[in-house]
Amino acid sequence: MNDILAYSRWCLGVVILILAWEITGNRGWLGSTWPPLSSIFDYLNSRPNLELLVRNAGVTGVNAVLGLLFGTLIGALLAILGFLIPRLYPGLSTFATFVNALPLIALGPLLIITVGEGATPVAIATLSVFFSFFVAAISGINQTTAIQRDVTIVFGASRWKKLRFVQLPAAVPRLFDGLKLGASAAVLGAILGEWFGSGSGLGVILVSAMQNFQIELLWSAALFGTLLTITGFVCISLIRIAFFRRYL
Amino acid sequence: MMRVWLVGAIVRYWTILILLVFWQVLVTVNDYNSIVAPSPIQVGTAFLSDPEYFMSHAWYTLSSALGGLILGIAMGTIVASLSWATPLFNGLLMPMSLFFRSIPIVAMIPIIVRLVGYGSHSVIMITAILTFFPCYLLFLSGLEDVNSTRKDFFSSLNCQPKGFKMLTFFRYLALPSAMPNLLVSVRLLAPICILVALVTEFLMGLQGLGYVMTSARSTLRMDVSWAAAIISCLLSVGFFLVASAVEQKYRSRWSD
Amino acid sequence: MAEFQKETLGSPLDGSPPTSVMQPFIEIDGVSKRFHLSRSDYVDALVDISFEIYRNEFVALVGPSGCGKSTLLRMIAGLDEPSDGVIKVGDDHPRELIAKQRVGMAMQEHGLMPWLDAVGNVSLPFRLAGLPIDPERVEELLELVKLSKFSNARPSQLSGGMKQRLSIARALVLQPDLLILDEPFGALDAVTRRMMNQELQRIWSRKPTTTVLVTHSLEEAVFLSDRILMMSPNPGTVISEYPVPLPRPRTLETSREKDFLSLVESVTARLDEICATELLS
Ligand SMILES: Nc1ncnc2c1ncn2[C@@H]1O[C@H](COP(=O)(O)OP(=O)(O)OP(=O)(O)O)[C@@H](O)[C@H]1O
Ligand SMILES: [Mg+2]
Repeated sequence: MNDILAYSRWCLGVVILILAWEITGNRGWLGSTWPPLSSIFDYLNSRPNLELLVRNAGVTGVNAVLGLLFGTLIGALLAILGFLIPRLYPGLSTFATFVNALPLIALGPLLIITVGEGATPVAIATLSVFFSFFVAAISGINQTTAIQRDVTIVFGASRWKKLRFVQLPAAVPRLFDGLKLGASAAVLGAILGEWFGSGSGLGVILVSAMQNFQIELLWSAALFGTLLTITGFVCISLIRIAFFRRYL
Repeated sequence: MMRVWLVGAIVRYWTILILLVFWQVLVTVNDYNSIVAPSPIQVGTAFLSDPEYFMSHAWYTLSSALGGLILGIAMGTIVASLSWATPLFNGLLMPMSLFFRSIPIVAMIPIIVRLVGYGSHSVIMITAILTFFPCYLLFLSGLEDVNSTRKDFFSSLNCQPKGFKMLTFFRYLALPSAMPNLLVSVRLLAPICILVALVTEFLMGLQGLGYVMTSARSTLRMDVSWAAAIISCLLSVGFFLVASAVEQKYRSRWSD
Repeated sequence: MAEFQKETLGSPLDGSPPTSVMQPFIEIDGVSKRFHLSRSDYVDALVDISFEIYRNEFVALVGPSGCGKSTLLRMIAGLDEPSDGVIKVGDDHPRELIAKQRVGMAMQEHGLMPWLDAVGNVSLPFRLAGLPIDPERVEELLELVKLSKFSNARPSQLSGGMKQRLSIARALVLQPDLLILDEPFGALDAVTRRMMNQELQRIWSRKPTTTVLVTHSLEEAVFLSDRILMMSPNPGTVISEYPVPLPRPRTLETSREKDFLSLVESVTARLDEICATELLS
């Protein structure tokens, strides 16, 4: 009963959100920058517009996926390194905190030189994914219960065996959480990276639409960015479900 | 004594040292001139030649980020409290905040820049808007996630989260229970609000470190641009560390 | 075994609750509780329970884990509603007593506010009841649970036993008409627990209050109560009742006397029996 009430409030919320958006846009209460929702869909209804957005969203998507891949890989490698060689761990964790606190936009000028304009989106995406995955991996590895760890010590397992058979399996749920955070970080990083002179991608569209006052294009690009993030969430959730079906 | 200290520092900061050395070596080996990639030394010199210039822009960035953060957190906590008190309001607001939260913030900024206009207030407004949603969600979950034994104790004295004793319940239980989440949101949002301020300055090009980064680049003063970038990093990391320290210090007061 | 039970039920020894207090304060009549786990699934936590508790009587509820003790206690306190049957406290719905702020509660989890010090925690009931804080009463309670020295300490600075004492002080500060205790010492070690029982007994004897205690320790039940109600699970019902005819005040010596030990033994035997049939079925 309470569920139904909460659910209907939710639906009402969604309806009101859409209506409020539409009316505000129609009346122009928030100025011409806030278009009615319908005009954004009208805009997307034309084939060339849609193609433009899909093509650029594709570019951003590829950048984000590459960033997710590299970031996850680096995060995992460093986490394992920090676990196997405890001396390195404090430095690695400082580094991760440091990367997290870095304003990614400040890295733009540096990355253009070091990795080139074309690779900058992937590099920024990689860095932003790296942190969330590294932290998830470390906290996942460290969360095995004391008893589980004692048992492996009693059996005289090496650090590597301990990692492989006790800690890694226990860390899996956390790793998926890290991946999920990483997915949205990757899209964000890719868009940001594209501002630095890369030729295409949602980031480029966002900036040029802003400067040229193409409001519908601006909103559509943001919408596609959101869709990319949500697609990432859904994919990772599916992989997670498949993984647990297969192995647990 | 000195050696112990040095070893400790190296163990904590070896990764950053390696990055610095790597940078210097890269520039030296490739023999870049300063227009392509300045070396750490050139960047340091650029900063020292006019520290006031950098400091004033850094102050502008920091103050607008801080102002926006305070505004965003104030709005977030107030709106979260209102929606705690009125389920209808909560139901209406929740879909909206979840939607706005899954929009990548860097995609939001160009839109909001257009919306609130170019001007010195815009940075604060944008930072406030973008810090509002995470703070709202986090604080609301803190208000709702009250320990069940404490809740029973309040119920046994006729104090419920609804009805005429609602305010008492809020003041003595829900609000203090949500304080740890408030501290967490400050820590999480500290680097984000600097990022948002920088990005906004970068796009609007009026003032602040984000502006220095682009404008220096367009006049080929790479050393200045990189110095601004590095100060931004230091600012952001410093702000994050302060926020973490504040969280560490006060968290134990509000939770057991 | 069954004979002993009949005997004790039939002829309360001297020292059992004085007849002057023998008026029912809590009446539980045909109470059942069903929890719906999903749309089609449910558990009957309690089925058709009836008994009475007298004014200023100390009753202990014991029984195997999951037999519905906490559920029953919450309903007596007015925190939950029975699915069937009626509970009356002082001829009223239990919630009336809550509305008058006459219920005191202490649970296994202390539920103290980590952001308040000892004084703040014990004064909290005044604030919640909308009454002016009586600092002398608060001071008196802290004295009673021997925490005066820690009046400005936060719960995180207190030991487990001290926290439980503080939560009992908090439960007593408004001089409740009904005291609800759900394994208040469940998290403590055996030695501390005996000390706490002695303290509680001392405090309670100074001002007897109608009390319902849920506990897993039968020694504790015998030591503290005037009457023990034993429950059995699946579905939860009250199946036996033991008066505790030991004179008050009770001390640590009491807990080594023959009467005490033999009562504990017979209650334990009965509980073992219930658990054994439970395992067989
Ligand atoms: N909120 C609830 N929702 C569903 N089932 C519940 C709920 N509370 C209790 N139950 C069920 O009611 C039964 C009795 O639970 P209760 O907590 O009263 O037992 P108990 O006697 O206090 O056990 P213990 O000694 O372990 O504390 C259990 O089967 C439990 O699963
Ligand atoms: Mg219980």
